[in-house]
Amino acid sequence: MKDGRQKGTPDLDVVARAAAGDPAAHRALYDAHRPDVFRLARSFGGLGSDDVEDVVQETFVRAFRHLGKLQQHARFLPWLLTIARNRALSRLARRRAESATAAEFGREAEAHLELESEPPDTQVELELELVRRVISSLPEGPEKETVHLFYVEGKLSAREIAERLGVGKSAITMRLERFRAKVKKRILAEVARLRGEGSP
Amino acid sequence: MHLDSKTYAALLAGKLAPDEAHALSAHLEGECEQCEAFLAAQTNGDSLDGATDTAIARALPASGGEGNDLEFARIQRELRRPATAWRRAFVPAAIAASLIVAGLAGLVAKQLPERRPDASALDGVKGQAVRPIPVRLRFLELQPGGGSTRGSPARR
Repeated sequence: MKDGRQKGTPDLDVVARAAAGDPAAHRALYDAHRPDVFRLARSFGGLGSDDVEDVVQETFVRAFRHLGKLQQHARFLPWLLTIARNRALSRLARRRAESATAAEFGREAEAHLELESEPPDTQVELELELVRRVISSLPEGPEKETVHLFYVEGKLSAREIAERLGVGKSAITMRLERFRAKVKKRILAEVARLRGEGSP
Repeated sequence: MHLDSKTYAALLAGKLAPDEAHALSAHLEGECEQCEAFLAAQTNGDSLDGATDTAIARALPASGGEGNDLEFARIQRELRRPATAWRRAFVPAAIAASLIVAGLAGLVAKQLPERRPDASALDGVKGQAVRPIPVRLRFLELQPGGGSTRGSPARR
């Protein structure tokens, strides 16, 4: 296991050193989490390979620049991935605004920027099996195939999967979002269970 | 009970009543396309998004997309530069400052005593005696947040 990561949990000392501006700690976090950030950016079919590279770079610049604001260093990875998602959404919104289809998206993207200083506060011990259970519960079909190609095999981007399967890029993005929604639902059920503890 | 914006926000903020949270948990444990569609449409990059992406990253570690020295060097270089907001504000401010200086120069020039050329120095070959030419100075002040303000014309 590389420095800066143990099963997705960053070494708190590395995060603390990175927050203090230590380039070696920056490098450790970058090496440990770049694949996750890269894959997240590639899940947006609307982003080309150059966009993906830009999103990755912007994510780490923004994260390292604002790392001092992150109070719970154990939350580094969710925080980093939230930044990456917002960077990707912001770039997509800019693309849409450029094609003059939705000024609304631009305003939405600005709203996203405001959220980045907020560390995720979901108080849940995530079970690794949760995601696997969601995958195994998917019925055989295009959604499961897409999830398998993207997350399990992990070699193709959303765009490349769209080309291989002969469907639109947005269809692949939607399938991946539906899968994420299923994972979200399970996590949210767990959040609700913990909040509801003690009620009859 | 299905998820809606109000319930969702209250749950994430820890403000949902325990009995409602309990009922919602039981509901979300089952299949519900309506709630899944609601969650799929939530693309605000909120805490649940971070938790979901982290769960996926931990369960299905990404392969490929490893870092490289060149990109890391670019990140470090970018970190040494001022934040984008400052850069965004700097360029319009610099343009506005130069235009203001140019405007002030025009006003100062207007205050200086007018110098008429010595008629004896003109031999008529290159034209007639110089007369003041009306000049109107216009400038546009660009605001950092967008928009612009037209400067008052100075005339001499």
